[in-house]
Amino acid sequence: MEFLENQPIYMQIADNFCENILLQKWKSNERIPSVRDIAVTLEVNPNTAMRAFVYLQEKDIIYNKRGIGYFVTEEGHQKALELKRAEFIERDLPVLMKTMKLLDISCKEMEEIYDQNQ
Amino acid sequence: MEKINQFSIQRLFLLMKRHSFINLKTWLVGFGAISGVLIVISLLQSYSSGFFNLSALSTTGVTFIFIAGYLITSMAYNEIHTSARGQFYLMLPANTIEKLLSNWIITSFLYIIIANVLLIAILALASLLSSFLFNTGVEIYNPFTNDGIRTMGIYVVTQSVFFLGALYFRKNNLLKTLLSIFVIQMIFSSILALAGWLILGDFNQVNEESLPNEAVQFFTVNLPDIAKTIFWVVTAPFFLIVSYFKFKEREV
Amino acid sequence: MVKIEKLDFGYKKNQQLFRELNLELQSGNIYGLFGMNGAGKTTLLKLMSGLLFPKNGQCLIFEKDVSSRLPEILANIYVIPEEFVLPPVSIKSFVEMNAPFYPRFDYTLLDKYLKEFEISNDKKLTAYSYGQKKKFLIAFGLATQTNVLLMDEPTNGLDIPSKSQFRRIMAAASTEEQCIIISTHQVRDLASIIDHVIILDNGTIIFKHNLMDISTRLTFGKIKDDDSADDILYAEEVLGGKAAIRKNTGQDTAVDLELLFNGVIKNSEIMNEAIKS
Repeated sequence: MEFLENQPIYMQIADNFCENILLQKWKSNERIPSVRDIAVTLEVNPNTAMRAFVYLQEKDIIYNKRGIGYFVTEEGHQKALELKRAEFIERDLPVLMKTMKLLDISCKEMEEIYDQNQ
Repeated sequence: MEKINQFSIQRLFLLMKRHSFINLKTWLVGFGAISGVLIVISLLQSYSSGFFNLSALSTTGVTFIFIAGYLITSMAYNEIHTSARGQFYLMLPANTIEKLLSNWIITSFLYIIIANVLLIAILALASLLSSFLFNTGVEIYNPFTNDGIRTMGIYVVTQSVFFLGALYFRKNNLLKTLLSIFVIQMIFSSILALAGWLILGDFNQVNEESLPNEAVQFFTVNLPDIAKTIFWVVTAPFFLIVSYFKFKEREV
Repeated sequence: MVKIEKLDFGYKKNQQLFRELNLELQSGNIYGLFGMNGAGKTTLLKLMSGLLFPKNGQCLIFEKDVSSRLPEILANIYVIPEEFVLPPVSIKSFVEMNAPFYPRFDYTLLDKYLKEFEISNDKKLTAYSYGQKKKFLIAFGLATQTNVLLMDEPTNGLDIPSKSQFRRIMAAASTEEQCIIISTHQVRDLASIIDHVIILDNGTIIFKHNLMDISTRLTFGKIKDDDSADDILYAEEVLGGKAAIRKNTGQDTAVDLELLFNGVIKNSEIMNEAIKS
């Protein structure tokens, strides 16, 4: 019994941040948009947006310079990569493997498809 | 924070401004209608009698002003009688006293002065027109005589009854106020008659000689004086105070 | 900031709508007040703003009884009603005759919100559509910068882009000093901008929780028909399975407010129990 992909809003925001960091849109020690900016752009409650910031701060991906705003940490890229990898392995991979099993797709077949798409 | 609750002249003026913004149209229509009718009457009168009868016309004009004033007063609180409009007025950050006085000042003092100034202008115009058309003399009406000012005073006092009616009744305020005045007056006179009958006995047998001097004095001098004082001093404040409490407990 | 204490109210003597109702709301939050038609949402908002007087008990704002209608209270509360009639005056006149009553009124903000809502400034208020009037009132209400803002069905009558504009404006406008209460039965429109859920049913507040607490205690999602589990708190049929609420065992999900609402209406005790434990 699995719930389908259905993340809370703050996690979706955090995901989006990580993606921006991994894609190098946001680089280390660069300032990121404010809580209010994010809330307005995504049409969410500022408290919800704040939760995403707190979450990423706990993971050492961003940090707060008081009175100035939030910045990507020195090791932000590395941390974001680790976080997303762990998430993928824990959350997405089991679903994928289950589907592969169901459709009888072997790992070898998967590898071929992967190579083709590179 | 406390200071904001105190009576503020500034807010009173704001409320008066707001009231006139919203009710300007009604006033213009009312004044327009009165002016038109009065001019027509003046001309008909001059045409038929051959002279400009200022005293008769001004009496007619003042009567119109009274009727229109009671009408406008009766509509002064139309805003709060529908919740869709009234909620905005009730939520407006101002004192209950300010909200009451603003409407009262506009429909009593301000109205009677504006209306009288207008009456001067209309009668002057009518007089000019009639002198031009029917060769009558030109006369200017002056309401600011002792009698005229007394009449304005009577309006201000009696208007307070209609003011309460405007707050008290939700619909057909004018008619309901008139009906109430009638009913209350009937009750009042009955009580008075009953009291008189109880005190004096059979009316037919009463004559001034049979009564003690004090009683004659009381009924012919004191009682009318008391009635006058009540009318001039008590009526308006009484109805305003009742209006205040009525307004304070108004819900939507 | 807003406090309701032991409030009794009924429109008629023998029909009691609220009995000993208590409610406390803090600043810095946007509360979603949900309930079915006739649950008493609008009545509750009217009691909170002093437009109706309780039979017993009281409603306080900053510790002051709202039914006193003191200017200090009225200057700190703005109500955007669902049903309203605006006077036949231009926006400019309306602002000129109402804004000066609010000590903190911000004219620049008003212009900004009107621009965002794409409301032109050239007609009489009576000539605008219902949705436009509503947007004007929302813009005006936010520009008053009152600490308490009550909105009754604000997205009713708003077209799809306007609903999005509304959420953006709310996200930008709400401040730490403000307590915003939005009453609605259009759960979907507002799910993302509220942070507290209050559910009113038959004159009783049967549910009041922080959205964060809800999401840490409950999970929402689809399960298959043949799944049977003890921890299902509520489930309803949807295409290809069931939508269910379960206890959160470590997997945070988005809060499905519609599902939550249905679950709470069906059995509020189970939900409250699950969130408290």
